Amino acid sequence: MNSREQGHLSDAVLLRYADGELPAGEAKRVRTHLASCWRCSTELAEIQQTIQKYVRYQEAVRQGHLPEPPAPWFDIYRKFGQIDEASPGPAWWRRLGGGLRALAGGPRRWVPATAVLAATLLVVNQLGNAPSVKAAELLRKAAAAEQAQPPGRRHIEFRTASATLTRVVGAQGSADWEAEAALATLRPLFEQAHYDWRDPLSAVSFARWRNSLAEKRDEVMTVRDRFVPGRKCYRIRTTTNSSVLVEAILNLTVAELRPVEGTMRFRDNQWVQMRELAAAEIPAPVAELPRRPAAPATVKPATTGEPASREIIEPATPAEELMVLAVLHELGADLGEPVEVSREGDRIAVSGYGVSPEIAARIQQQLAGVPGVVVRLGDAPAGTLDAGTSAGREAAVEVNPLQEAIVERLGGPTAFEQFSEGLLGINEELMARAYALHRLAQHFPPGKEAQLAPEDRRLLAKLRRDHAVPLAGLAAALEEQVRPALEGLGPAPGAAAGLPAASWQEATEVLVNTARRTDYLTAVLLGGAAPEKGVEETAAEALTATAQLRLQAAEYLRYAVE
Amino acid sequence: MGALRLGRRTTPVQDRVAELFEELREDVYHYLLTLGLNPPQAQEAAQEVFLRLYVTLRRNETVENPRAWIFRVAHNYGLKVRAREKALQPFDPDLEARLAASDLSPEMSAVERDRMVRFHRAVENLSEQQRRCLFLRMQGLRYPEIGEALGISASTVGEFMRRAIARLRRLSGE
Repeated sequence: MNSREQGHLSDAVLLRYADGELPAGEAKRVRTHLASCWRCSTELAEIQQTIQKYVRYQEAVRQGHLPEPPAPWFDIYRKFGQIDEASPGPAWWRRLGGGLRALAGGPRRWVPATAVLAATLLVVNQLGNAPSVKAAELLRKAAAAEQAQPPGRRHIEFRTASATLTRVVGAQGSADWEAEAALATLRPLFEQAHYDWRDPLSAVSFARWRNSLAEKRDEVMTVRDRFVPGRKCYRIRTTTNSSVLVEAILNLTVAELRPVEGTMRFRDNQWVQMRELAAAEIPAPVAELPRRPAAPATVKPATTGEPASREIIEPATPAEELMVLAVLHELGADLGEPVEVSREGDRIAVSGYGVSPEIAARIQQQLAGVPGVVVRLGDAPAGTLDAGTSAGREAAVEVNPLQEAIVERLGGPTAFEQFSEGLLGINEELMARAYALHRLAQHFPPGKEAQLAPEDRRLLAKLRRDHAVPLAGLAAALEEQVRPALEGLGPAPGAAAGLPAASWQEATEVLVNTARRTDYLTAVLLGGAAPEKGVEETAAEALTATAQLRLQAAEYLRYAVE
Repeated sequence: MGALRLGRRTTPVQDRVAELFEELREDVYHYLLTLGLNPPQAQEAAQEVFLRLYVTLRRNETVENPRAWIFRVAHNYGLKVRAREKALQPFDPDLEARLAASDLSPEMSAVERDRMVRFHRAVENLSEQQRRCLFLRMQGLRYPEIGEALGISASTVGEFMRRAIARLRRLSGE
């Protein structure tokens, strides 16, 4: 077997191999591959080294660093005797004490409200140490920042029940008329709600609407940004009965208080989701509108601080773009690192703030100096708000009834903590994989993919596979975590829909949308987002969505080959 | 049947549990410490786990893999104890300082101690689930057994293990 043909082994496979957890056939395949592949055998050696270090560490910790048992161990035969003396059955059973009865699965304890509240606060903390600044205060600061420095031209993606569109806002008078027309049905609703239609993803617009409400309820919490790994946002949610716009959610970045995502829900259940597109996403054609030609790159190449361009730079080809993505993948910079790849005129820009120093150095090393590639990596902009100083205890953190039901179902706050930790971890990585696939689909729509040479198409398929395989495992793990917590709380979940698609790009779009839905529902389960519906419906929906994601992720594997 | 112990006849089940108690009680105690129990609680809980095993076996219930069973019960019981107690202290908040102190590990060189402290920090940075998976794997449990102990599937254990090793590699990078 040739390692070039087969691609390299993932760390998941290598670790399972090292742990003797692979089925015999697969282990044999791995062994053969390792014999011919230096890279993978080195990788395996490093994994084994890490395991050795862990073992040495545990041994060192145990030798003299852990407290000895405070008392001599009991005489276990005497205890056996005591157990035997008591007649078998309930009498000795009772003697064993409540702890052991609990182990045997006694009736679930009633969970006091304070415990539930503690669990909720804990979840919020896990989502990012809730600074819990009041909505009004945050909006005031965000609006002031926005007015002092208008955000300029931004591409905002609008998603409604029937369409996804990109609209340019902030430019003088410029508007994407196609988008305007498609969104026209929503416009009267915005106007009726006195919510500025021209720039809805704005702290100023949100604050104006909110201030106009006779009656309202706010929630503020800190959440992870769903689209930019590593970024945290304040999530402000305002609900009201005194407007046709009954619920509005705005996510402001913690660092700059910039609005990057929002959701509006109107009284007749119409809704629109908005988010600011990252530079890398702008030139990509919108998948739901295949008739629309790919927008030409309009962003001018930035020239400040870069070496003067050599002679004439040939426009970067799709193959070169793929090469850049493949290098980032090799470096592990396509998962959870805020690295963006975008077209700037004829060149490919690799940019990002707050990329981990080690990765940044390796990107520089690999890509800086490559003709047609510009690398711009910097430190994260300094925060404008000291999250630590805000009065955390004032936050009105609501215990949502669904969460309460889950805490009770799982048997208490500690079990819930464990559940939420597991779920968050799985979800985070799952979303990173989903976005990595999304990025590939956006960089390589079918037309562009067709321009690639066969070996490049194979490379692209390998990149897909590298994300699709773990994603399928993660989706299965997510469902397994969610199911026991929710089953029976609501009506039987609906049937999971598969993944009908004409191309892998289309399949990716469907898959990513399902992942976004489970991402939101995960946040609801853990108290990080407000449920849209009641306990039963949300539980059933979460079960359906996770089952659907599992099914789709498994089906997606067939698109992950060339 | 059974061996004579201090003039009393013991049963094979008792001998089997006593053997496991000898072999595993320190590991179980250690595991319970890492769950956040204090030493007296951890010791008491460790002892109860083995009594529970005795009671189960005595009822003729089958325990296919006693090692996995013991850690599963220890895990669940440890969490219950932890939930019951209001103010739990980490068993040794100064572990890092003690690892770094030369008098406690005289056989290590300064460089090795440095590495150990760095590794300790990396381990502390793992999620609780990841730490548990690693710990139980070190106790010789296979993924399905770890899964059984923690109430998750073997594939989820694999995922936690992979992420734990990847993080340790990254965070303790030399």
